[in-house]
Amino acid sequence: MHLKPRPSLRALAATFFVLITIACAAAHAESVNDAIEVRGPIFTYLLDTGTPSAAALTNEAVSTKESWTLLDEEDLTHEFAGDTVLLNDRLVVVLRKNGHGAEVYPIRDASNPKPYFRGRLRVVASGGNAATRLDAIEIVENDPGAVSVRVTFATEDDKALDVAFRLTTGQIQIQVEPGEVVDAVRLDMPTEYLVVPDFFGDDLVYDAQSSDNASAGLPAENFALHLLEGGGIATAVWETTGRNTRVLFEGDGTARRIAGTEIECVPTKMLWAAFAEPGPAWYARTISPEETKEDLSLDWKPPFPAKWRANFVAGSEVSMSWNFGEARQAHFKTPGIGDLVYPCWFEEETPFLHPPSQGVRRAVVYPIDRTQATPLNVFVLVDVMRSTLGVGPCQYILDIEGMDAQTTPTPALVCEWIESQLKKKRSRVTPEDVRERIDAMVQHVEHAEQRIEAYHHLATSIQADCAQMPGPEAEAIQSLALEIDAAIGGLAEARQTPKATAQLADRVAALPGTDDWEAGFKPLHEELSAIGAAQDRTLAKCRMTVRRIRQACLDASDDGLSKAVLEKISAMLEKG
Amino acid sequence: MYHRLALALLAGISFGIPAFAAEDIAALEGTIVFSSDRSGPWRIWIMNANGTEMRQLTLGEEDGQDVDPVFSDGGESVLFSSTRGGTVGVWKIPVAGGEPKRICDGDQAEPSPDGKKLALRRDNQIVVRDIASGAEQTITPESFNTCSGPAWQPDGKGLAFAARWDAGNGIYLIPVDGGEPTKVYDKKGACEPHFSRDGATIVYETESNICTVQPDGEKNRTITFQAGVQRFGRLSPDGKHIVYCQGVSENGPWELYVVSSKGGYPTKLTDGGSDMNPDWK
Repeated sequence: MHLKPRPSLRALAATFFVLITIACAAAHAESVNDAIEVRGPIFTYLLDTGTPSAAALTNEAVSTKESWTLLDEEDLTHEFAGDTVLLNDRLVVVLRKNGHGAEVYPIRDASNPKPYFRGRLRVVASGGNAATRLDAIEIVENDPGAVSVRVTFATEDDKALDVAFRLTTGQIQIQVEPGEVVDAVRLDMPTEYLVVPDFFGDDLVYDAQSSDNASAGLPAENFALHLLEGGGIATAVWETTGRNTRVLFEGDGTARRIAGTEIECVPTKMLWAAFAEPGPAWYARTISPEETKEDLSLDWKPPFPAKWRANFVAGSEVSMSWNFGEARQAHFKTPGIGDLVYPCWFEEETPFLHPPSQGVRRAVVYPIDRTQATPLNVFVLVDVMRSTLGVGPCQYILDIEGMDAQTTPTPALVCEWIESQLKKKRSRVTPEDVRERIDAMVQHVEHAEQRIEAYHHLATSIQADCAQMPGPEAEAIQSLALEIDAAIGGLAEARQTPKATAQLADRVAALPGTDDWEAGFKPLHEELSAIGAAQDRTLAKCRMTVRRIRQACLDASDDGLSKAVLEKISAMLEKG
Repeated sequence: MYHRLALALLAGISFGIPAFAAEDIAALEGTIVFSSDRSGPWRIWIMNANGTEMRQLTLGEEDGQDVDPVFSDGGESVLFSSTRGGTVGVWKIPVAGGEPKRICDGDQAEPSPDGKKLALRRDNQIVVRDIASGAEQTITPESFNTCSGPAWQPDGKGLAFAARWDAGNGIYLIPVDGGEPTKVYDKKGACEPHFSRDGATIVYETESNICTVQPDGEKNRTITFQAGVQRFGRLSPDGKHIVYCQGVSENGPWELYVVSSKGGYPTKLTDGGSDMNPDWK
């Protein structure tokens, strides 16, 4: 019988050394995650991977952080031996020495805390040349509240592109501050649907078949939603309006998909990319012609309570958008459309759809706003707007339309205030108090009508330009201009007139002190709120259409017509 | 056998991984006063800092909203702003309850650390009032035409306040006798400053978060980061925690939460109604 030879002492020592090295390496990597856990995972950290990686890091590598070093707080002079990592408990952002962009790994929720590669943020020089290498990196901030680095990328022809990335405590967005010569930021992330939300009107929804070209203009004002493959949502937000934004496509046939978006840069103005991962946070379903007259129970449950929105897509990117109701409404009167079954609602927790028209072929559902029940660690679109642009949707729209955003005397808010006064026992609100608020509301309504009238004049002027410079592009632009007038006309009855509004307001102001003025106020409240809603919808439709005209002009080859129209609409899209 | 020894050594290495936990509110000390509409009109309420023994402090069915409570007289009284009687005024009520008394016109009153003065807002300016004599001085310059939220430095030599401009808000420091304000921080709608007891930190709010900053404007830190809106942050007496209001939007409704003053996962303190403007002693 042969015995196994005993290992030599040298072999044993080598084995022991290897095992201890492995143990120490494992201990070191574990201690980085441990150190973060002890110091607080919500805070921000900078890490050095130790060794540059030739390829994008795997999810596992980002999770285990083997051989990584956690930088000390306030260390601003560290020279990275490996790749640079910015991290909090929601995002990991990797800047590889051998890479050409910021690689983003959102961390799923506490029940699944693994990072997951989602995409890349790349800077682009004029002429469309994206960065191909990273040349330098410098730490700007390094404390528990925020970490940021300034990076110099370079294109193939050695053009230097500076950009700063910043991550703050607990936030799901990475802030991008492009340098002077950066022409655009590209978000490379496979996307199933790209949504341009409109809080008071209808969203635009793009999919892989929306264009046969490599890119298409995106008439987005300050934000766009990427509904990502796998169920996450990435929101791109940017300061200032009027940027040229494009949706990017790749592939052909059934392999065609949305590859991402490209957002034109304005020096010193920020962009953000926010990644919301608990999900699947969105849902889509095709709708057959037979199903358009039915109540459709969805085989999907929203992962969290929120204000959910359904976009019904018929053919083009213009959808019909509705926020989910709390019960089925068989006869819902919709200004400009008529009486229909309210298209989306929840019964207990089950979502239902009833397509609003027979032409609908798809429904796309996503969370647009939060409710009191929405968990605090879930960020929806409105949260991202607040934490980037600093405003919620109501203030945002009022600000853009040049209306009073500070006090927001919309009919709905003023009527709610009056109703709240009514609910107080022995309320001593005076007729003067009510009159003051009502007058502010009437002024607001008048200003809104003036804006609507301005959109009508713009539409008329654009149509005149198109008639003077005919051609296929003029036809397309003219068709859009006619949509503005259709929106204004279609909702005119619901908006009533400022004079009619003032008369309703006078009736409200006369109520204090009368018997049972609560009952008298209710129908006036409904009518005034409906006027406000109709104005909001009109302005939203006008504004979205003007943005689509702008995009058509940017894509047009007819310089004469597009230049003439662009000059007219640039003033309209800036603050009123 | 030696392989097994090495593996045993490896297996024997273990690491404790302490969790980063949410605040243990049961252990919180002190008293919190706040305004709430949980009984209908806005009234002042008071409770233990751990959320127990909540009771309504200001009563009355009459019209008039009571808000902005702050402890005074060493914690024996509460100052608050109210529209009782039809005009906005500063009122006082004993913590033990009783009849509130009107002190003067204005709102957002804060007692000085020595208890001898009040800082308050009137006509969008910051006024310092001597409690004994009633003598007043407007300390903010006319060029600062929209001021609010006075907060005393712990040494009583000056105050922080917020000023609003077309470009946005900012937090400033000003000597107690007036003079040229010094800017502390003016990004993201910064306002509602309050000093820590050691004067080293100012807690304030932005459009949606609670933050801290040093009085020299350095070490600006975002403390809260949750979705929705966080407002009205106040430090605990020991400076270790911040109580603040959490809302779905800038219109509320609001609930009180508490978080470590270094940041972390918050814990809910109140439920029901809309609760605002906490102060903690």
